[in-house]
Amino acid sequence: MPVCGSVRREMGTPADSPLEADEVATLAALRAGDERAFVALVDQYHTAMVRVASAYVPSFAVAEEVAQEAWLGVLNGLQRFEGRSSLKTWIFRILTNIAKTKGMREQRSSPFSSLFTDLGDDESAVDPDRFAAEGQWLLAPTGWGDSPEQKLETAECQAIIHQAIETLPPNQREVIRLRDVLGFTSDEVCNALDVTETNQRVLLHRARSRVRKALEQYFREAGVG
Amino acid sequence: MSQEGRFSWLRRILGREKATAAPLACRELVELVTNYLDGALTPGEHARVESHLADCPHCTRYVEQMRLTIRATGELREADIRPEAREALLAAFRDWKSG
Repeated sequence: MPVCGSVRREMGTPADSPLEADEVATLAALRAGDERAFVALVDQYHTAMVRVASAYVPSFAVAEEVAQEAWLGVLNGLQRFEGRSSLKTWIFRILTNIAKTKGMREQRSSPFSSLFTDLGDDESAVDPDRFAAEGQWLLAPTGWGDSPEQKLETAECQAIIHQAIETLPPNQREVIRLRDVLGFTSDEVCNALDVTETNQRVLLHRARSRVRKALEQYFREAGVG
Repeated sequence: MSQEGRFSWLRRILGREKATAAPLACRELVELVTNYLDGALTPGEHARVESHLADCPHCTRYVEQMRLTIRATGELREADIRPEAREALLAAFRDWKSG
């Protein structure tokens, strides 16, 4: 069961179906056998599906297999899909179910179920040494110079961010990728990863804090601020 | 209007009063940024964060850097689907269509 999602979903009359207008069109095209609609959907979600699956299974190759299998599940379920959830939510629920089954078979020693419930040790967003005993800043955040938006788009900064994400613990890494790289909403992440809203935010906060820290360090070493 | 909606202004004001009673420390504020940006704080907590930010340039900078970080992370590109995988899926779609 999804841990957090809309209550509306359970009532599911066509009038308050959470399907977006473009999803209604996509669904009709898919049912009519429109190849372009299918390929567009694959291009839109496949990478994210492999990403989500990789949280449950031990290797990229298996994650890819899970995603392929999920697409078959989507095709076979198309005629029965009633639009009680968004198309995206439905697709990721199919994916997650397959990934979990496969994960349980292949990864007996470290059950996935603990990945998003056991968040690891407490972790501060900022090094505690940077605050005085009363909690105010001793070493305030250093500036990122003029027009930081542009600097952050450079290949160098993008590489710093990529590297910072790669070195995160797996649970933080998956959450930040879905939320901030792939643009999932909080609800969509909870649904895809079977994580509570609270835990999702804790993991996201830790992940973002670490990425910010890496950027601050980069700018400081570059002599900015 | 729902009970909750009707009294939201009241709760905001109460939250503000609470803010003067128990100001946030900078160390606490940095832990609330994601909840703050997601709109997931209670009205009282939200008001405490805002009143802290109103006169703390360091935390204002910190929150701004978190916003910049989120935006820049959104610029990262995940690898595209591999052509073989795309071909295999297209073949599966054709099978499904003819079956």
